[in-house]
Amino acid sequence: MRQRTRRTAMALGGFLLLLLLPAVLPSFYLGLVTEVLIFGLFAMSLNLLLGYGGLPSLGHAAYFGVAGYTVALLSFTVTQNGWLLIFLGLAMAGVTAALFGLLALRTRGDYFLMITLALGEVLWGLAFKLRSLTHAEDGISGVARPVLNLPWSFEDDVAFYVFVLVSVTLATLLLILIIESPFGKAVVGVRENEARLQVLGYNVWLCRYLAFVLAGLFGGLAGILFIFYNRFVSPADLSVILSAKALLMVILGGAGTLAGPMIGAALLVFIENEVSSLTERWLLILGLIYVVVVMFIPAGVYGGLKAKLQRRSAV
Amino acid sequence: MNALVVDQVSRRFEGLQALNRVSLTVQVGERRAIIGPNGAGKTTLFNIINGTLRPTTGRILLFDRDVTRLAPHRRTHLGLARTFQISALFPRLSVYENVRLAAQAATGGRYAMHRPAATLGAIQRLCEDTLKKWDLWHLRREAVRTLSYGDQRRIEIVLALATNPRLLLLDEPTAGLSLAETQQVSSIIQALHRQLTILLIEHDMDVTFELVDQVTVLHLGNLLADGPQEEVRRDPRVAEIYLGSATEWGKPC
Repeated sequence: MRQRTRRTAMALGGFLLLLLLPAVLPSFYLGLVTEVLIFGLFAMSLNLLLGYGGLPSLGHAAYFGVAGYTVALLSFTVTQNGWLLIFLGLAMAGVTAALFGLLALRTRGDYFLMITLALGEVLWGLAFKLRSLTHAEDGISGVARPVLNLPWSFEDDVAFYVFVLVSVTLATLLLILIIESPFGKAVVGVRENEARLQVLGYNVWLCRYLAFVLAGLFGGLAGILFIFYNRFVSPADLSVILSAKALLMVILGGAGTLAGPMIGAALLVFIENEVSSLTERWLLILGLIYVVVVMFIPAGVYGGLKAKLQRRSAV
Repeated sequence: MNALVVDQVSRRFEGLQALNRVSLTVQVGERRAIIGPNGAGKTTLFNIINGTLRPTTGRILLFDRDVTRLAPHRRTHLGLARTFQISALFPRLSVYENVRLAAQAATGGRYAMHRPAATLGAIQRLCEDTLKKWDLWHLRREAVRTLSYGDQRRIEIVLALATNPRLLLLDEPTAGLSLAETQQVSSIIQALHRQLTILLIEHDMDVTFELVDQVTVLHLGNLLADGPQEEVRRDPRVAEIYLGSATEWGKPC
């Protein structure tokens, strides 16, 4: 119980610290932190599948991109209402995940990885081919920040940062609730021993499917925040590179841990920012980081640290 | 009422006839062993009863209901539970978490998302009771894979029981255990309430005859003998497949 109180206090302190960040941080770095929060949420959503469910998806950008395109396209044609746009973006991401889940969950392991990759590539290909709708590689630009009928205008970067911070915090709390719920425990059970869980009376397919759709929804939310932040969406937001990046964020931070993906996202966003100013071969460095992490810290930065601390306190 | 009816069940794997028109009836409250040499089809039969495998032909009835096409988790809801030949727990989770997954299933809120599992009283109480009843309370924080094999086998049975079954399938509950551990597991099974129907596969004949009234003998996928244990013990055909001779078997010499 004391540990729980301490953890809550730490989380609250962290939130307040992040809330006060705009007061001290130059706007360029505030932008980077905004990105960290968005991609952290994206990585956390993938972690629900990869870390907790043991399902390695290489097509998670699909939901990020679909939600982004939905918001971008509809914001010009249908509505400027931010709440409605968010809802519609989430709905499209959810529908996509519900469809893809039906196909992908017929497989496991490497095959699951390949089919999620293939499904993601289909959408990426569509974004290129449907030129009249998506403007192909030119993408869609000029998307406005969300109009939410609140006393603040989110065209202001600081206000928008706070909007992202609050959204990501709420989404994280929801994710924690899901992970700690009986359903979340069952998802871990699927990862650990499917046959035993089934015999205990669980519908194993349903557990996986719900986790898949939920991961898609949270991934979609990240995509929505990103299109509002970036004001621009292109096939890159549906690409396997983005999916792989999310996978790397999860593994780098620590799969199956709560804070891991956020830490992985922070590391990757800052490293990318530094490295891209030095070289154009950023992807090469990304690959290198992946190899090093898998070889030397397979549990991830946070996962490894946590294990070490637990060992020490056990002695 | 019959707890289980296996009706003319056959199962082919490619060229192998694993089970050939096997029929057997288990009444409620009965304790029955399925014995037979390796490759007799015992575990295949368990997998078909539990729904992990579909029979090529034939039917399975659980408590007078045809379940031949029912998914395994649905059969669990009808009161079926099983253990596995090779210990099949959630190895990296703690003893408490293992039991909690069973407790969640038993209390019905297994897919609930709206509250942390740790705040659901019914689940917690069931976990606590189960752990204390089976003398596992002091081990609750240990990861299952760090426990002795004997403790793991015990937890295997505890998980199966936690779903509150009416028919329990035990696949070699004492395989790989020391003499003392075998005794312990055997007395656990003996002490289970008599309304619980038990079907077990076992290689240790001393254990088998201690625990059951009825014995079914499978040999190369065929039902060889079926009846009260004294009868089956005297059956010369059974002695032959086990010992290759007509001496009475299953008794210490």
